[in-house]
Amino acid sequence: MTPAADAGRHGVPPVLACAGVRKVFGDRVVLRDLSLDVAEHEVVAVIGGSGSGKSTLLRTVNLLETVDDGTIHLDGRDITDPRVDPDQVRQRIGLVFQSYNLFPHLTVLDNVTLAPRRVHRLPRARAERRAMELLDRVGLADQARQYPDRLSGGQQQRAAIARTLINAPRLLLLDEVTSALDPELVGEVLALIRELKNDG
Amino acid sequence: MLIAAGSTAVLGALLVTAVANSPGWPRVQQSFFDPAVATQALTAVLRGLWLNVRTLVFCAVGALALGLAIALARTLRPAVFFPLRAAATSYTHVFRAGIESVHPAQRAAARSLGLSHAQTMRHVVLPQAVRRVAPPLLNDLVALQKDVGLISLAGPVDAIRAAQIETATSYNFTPYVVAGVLFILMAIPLVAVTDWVTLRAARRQTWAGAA
Repeated sequence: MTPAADAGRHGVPPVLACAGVRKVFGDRVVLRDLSLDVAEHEVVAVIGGSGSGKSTLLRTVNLLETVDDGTIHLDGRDITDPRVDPDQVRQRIGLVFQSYNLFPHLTVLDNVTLAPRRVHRLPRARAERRAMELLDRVGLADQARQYPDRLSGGQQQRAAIARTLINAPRLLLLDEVTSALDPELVGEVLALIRELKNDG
Repeated sequence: MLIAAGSTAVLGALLVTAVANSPGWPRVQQSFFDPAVATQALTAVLRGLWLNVRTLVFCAVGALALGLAIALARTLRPAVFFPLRAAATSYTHVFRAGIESVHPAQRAAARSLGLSHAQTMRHVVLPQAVRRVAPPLLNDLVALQKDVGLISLAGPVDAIRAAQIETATSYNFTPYVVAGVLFILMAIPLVAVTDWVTLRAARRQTWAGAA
């Protein structure tokens, strides 16, 4: 596993700082002494063969997996501390999946408003207003009332990105977000990601 | 459609003529299909049926609630909850199958948005699970509805027991037929609902498959 961009040094604590992270499944060591710093506005690409632990790294950072050793700091705070509430950490880290994982029983709009309404207790009208802004930004405002299975793969992935962005995450983790898409749909998702990057 | 209706009518007519012309029919009609005895027994049997209906509702709601509660308890991972998890019963397996049929990625997606375990269950897993297990649960409900007649064995006067008492006093078996017909009538709406739910689920599946 090779971080393709080296971490920049800005003097401020990095948004994400992994140090000596170790993750083991059974007797298979997936992450060995992994250290990675990600600064504000920085984009880091992780490249590696399948099974090399890219997804495990992202799941570990998002606390969907527990680390076996090492520490992960988010904005200078150790999130591997057992006293930290993982639900609160996850609200500040967005994760977009390879297979979109939209909720099939909810409309696109309800997918996006689920977290603000249930986690942040935002009234429905306010949550929907914010969601519509985001859906408009990812070019899906006209699909808001559709169910996910009516959307193309690229549209579903853009909806999934909007669902993550509504939490205004400090850190956005994208797990091979275009690998399940047709070549002609990859472009629309990559263009969106590029645009997000330029906005910081 | 027309052919099916026609052949059914012909077969029905044949059966009726065959039965009505068989020797001993007048005796059978008198003992099993006596309108006078039927009207007389109706009140008692209906009063008994009310007990069956209450039993059905109580058992169905109770079993569903308990089954769901235990199935939910079983999804709790911490070891402390083992006694709860181990106590799986009747309806639990259906709910648990439904809950476990929801892809783990759905749970991961919900948790990654910051939803707690309970919120994930309530808003993401259960809505999908319940939709999937509705048809088998309704089948169980139809079966349960047939079984509530067995409560007469425990002593209370339900429709079957009431029919038995009426039969014993009138030396005529018509009350049993009355109870049977009432049970069938009671089943019709439930069967219709089951068919509708199953059909709707099947149609949903085709949509998802076509997309």
